[in-house]
Amino acid sequence: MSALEVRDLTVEFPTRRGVLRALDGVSFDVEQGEILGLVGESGAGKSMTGAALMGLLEPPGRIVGGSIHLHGESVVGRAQEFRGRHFGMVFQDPLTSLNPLKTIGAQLIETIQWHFNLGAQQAELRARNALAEVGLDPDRLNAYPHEFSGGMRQRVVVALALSAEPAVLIADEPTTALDVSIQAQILDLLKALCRERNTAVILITHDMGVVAQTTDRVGVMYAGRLIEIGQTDQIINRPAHPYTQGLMASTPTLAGDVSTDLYQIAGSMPRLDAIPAGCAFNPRCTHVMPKCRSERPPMTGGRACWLEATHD
Amino acid sequence: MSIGQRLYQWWDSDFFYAFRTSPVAIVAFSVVMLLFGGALLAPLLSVMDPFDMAALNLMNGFTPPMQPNAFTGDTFLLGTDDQGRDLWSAILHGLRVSLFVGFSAVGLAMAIGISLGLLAGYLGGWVDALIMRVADVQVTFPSILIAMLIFGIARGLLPPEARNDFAIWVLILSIGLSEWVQFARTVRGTTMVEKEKEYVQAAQLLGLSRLQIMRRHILPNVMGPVLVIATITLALAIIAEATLSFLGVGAPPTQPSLGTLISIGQDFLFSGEWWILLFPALTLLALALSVNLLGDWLRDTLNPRLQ
Amino acid sequence: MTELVRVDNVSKVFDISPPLWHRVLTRQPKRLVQAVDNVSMSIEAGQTYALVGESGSGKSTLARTIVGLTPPTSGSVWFDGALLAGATHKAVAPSVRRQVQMIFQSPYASLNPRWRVGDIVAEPIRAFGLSDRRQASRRVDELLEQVGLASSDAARFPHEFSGGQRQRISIARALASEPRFIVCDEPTSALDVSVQAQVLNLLKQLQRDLGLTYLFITHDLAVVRTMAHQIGVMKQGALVEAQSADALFASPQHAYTQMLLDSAPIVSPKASRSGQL
Repeated sequence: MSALEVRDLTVEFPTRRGVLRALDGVSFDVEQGEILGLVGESGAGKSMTGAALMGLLEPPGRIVGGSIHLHGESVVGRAQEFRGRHFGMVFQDPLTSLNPLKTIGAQLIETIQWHFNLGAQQAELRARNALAEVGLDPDRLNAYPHEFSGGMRQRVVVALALSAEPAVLIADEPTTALDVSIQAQILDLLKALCRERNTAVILITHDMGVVAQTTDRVGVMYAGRLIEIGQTDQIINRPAHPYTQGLMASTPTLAGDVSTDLYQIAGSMPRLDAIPAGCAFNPRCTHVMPKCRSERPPMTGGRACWLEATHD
Repeated sequence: MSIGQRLYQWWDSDFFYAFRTSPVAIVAFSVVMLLFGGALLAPLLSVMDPFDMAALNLMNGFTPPMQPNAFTGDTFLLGTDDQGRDLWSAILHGLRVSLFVGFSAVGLAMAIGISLGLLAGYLGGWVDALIMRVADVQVTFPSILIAMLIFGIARGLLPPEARNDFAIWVLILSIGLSEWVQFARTVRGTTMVEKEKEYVQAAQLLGLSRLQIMRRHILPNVMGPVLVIATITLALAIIAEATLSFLGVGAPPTQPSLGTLISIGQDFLFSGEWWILLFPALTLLALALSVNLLGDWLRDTLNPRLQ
Repeated sequence: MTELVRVDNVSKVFDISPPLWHRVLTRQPKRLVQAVDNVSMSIEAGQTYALVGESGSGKSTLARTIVGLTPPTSGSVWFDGALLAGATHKAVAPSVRRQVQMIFQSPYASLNPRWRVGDIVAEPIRAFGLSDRRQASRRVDELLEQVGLASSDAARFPHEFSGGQRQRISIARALASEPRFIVCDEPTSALDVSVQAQVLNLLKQLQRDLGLTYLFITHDLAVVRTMAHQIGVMKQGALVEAQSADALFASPQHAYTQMLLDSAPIVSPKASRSGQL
């Protein structure tokens, strides 16, 4: 059994102009110790998926269908119990996840004692270990968040999220605010720690480079739907959905050159109030067929597309 | 785009939707509009000109509301005061004075506050320090005290025969000068945020002068918060005017405002003629409360962070 | 090859000390930050010069100094032989200023939210007195179409557009004064990949059509690869390496450049083959 099973997750936002479907039938599994990447452009629903798992949907948004199971136990409606203990979270901006008025030690110890029945000394020992694990000096327990650089703060956040030993870690753009050299370090750290502890990780990002470097499998989202999912190597090198193909082709690479233009997908992702019938990508797709405009393709063989699968 | 479409767009806008679905806003807005209408149409709605001494009949003095006068048999909707002045007409005309003073004072405070706030926020440095220190000093005095001070100075400077003619203008000046700080502070804060934005840099690249950038680029972007403060300040200004007039340093008896009427009325409160105080006071309460509620609602609606 | 922009020994020092009275009371010395440290460079006409570096490397400050948004502490910048920015407060001729424009990073903050798109794009035309009102509106239509928008978009407000479309509006505004040199400060770093490709292609297209010269500021080496002819690498305010793009990617000279190249997340090279869709 997978650690996390998400089936047909559907999230809606009732507005006065009608109901917006922010997530539409999203299904995926994450195994223990596996890193699943969720990629997509802004508004595709990747962060929304993380928020729905954590029970952190902003009202009036709510889960209207589907299920989330952690080791066979249903999570929907009980997010508060699961948050922290079973679900850890790392956000883009480390400053928003840390209390600026408390030392990082106090915050770590508080979290540890909240989840485990430990005395002050034992909790402090654990906090020191947690800092050492993320590559920080354990003696900096008494430092305040502002005394750290951005990259080090994100290490503290990782330590904090992992200190409760969650079964699933959701990292939402954890390195977007960091420089590339620091980004690589944090990603390597995240990867190593989760392998070691057998934590299931959902890494939400818009950056294909981050995905390629870190994840085992990738899910590609578009307009609130999961349109392709598979092994990272396969998604990056042999994408099967026309959108993923376009996305990969339009990503600049170090192997490019000045004299040729980048591949570009025409148009832009539809807004939630104007998602076309059938396949959401059909107005921009170069392979569009009549069926694409009327029927929504089901997820088969790791992709949601009516095109005949091509084997190479 | 046709007028119908424009109207529909307006009706369907988020702002108007928020208004339509807020009972407080609708009630407050209706009361304000009712009082504005009454003030505007005062000459048509009133049964007599309360300022025309010749029209007054002393015999009608102290007539209670809705009861015929014992001597003349005349009936007045809200009764009369000691001089036989119809209270309904006096309130409508008093409302005019109160609203005129309130709007003009807010206009003056806005003009001063926006200009100084823009200068302080955009230029920074010693200009900012100077303007904001003056503002700091001013807020340590209660604004009513500042108003009385300015009023006193102005009366000293004006020849006695001109005092009544200029009383209203002095009132506007004193309230306006005592309420600009709030505008200046808000505009300064917003300006400091806006001037760092890239659209301002784009304008600087074109070689526009600092005044042009302040007026054309930053001013439109500070008007949202200014509108909210203006509404709340309007309520304050109306109350300040009433207070000053009540204290006898505001609107002259020849041009009584709501405050003047309340001041007259309080002399008779304990001798049984309650209506002379009550009706002007209720009108003032309704006006100040509705304007204030409208201001609060505006602030909540225009500032999504508070929701 | 002719040189269009020359940067001569430009330094920029920011004074970040607390106010004077505070400094006197607490007996602190002045605190100065050297944001740009004696940078010299030369930008060829019709080419793209990319400035690369991590946050805090001074690349954005240098860009702002070159266009004249903030005067250099020392040194000078020359555009086609005329002074563009200098430490001495010599006024820059409007005829020179008109030929230098900038495209900014944030698609949200770079357009005045209270102005209609038509007015935004027309502002440079008006500011430099380039044409009368009627011609100006025709020119705005032309510019909007040139960047892939519709002329009817002139009547709309910025908030009605997506991030990529707003960046197109920014580009249209920059083109309005018919510049020869445009500084692009991270113009696509806030955009999604597919939108980024559209905007980068548009910039390349405009360079080919109008012979524009770009100074392109970015932290993304993959974007540099597809945009730049020349590359300068900045670290702590100094230009540590400047080379042609091909040379730099083939054999980086400075250790810092090497480190940047190594840590750039590389999407597997096979991906570039699927570029030929």
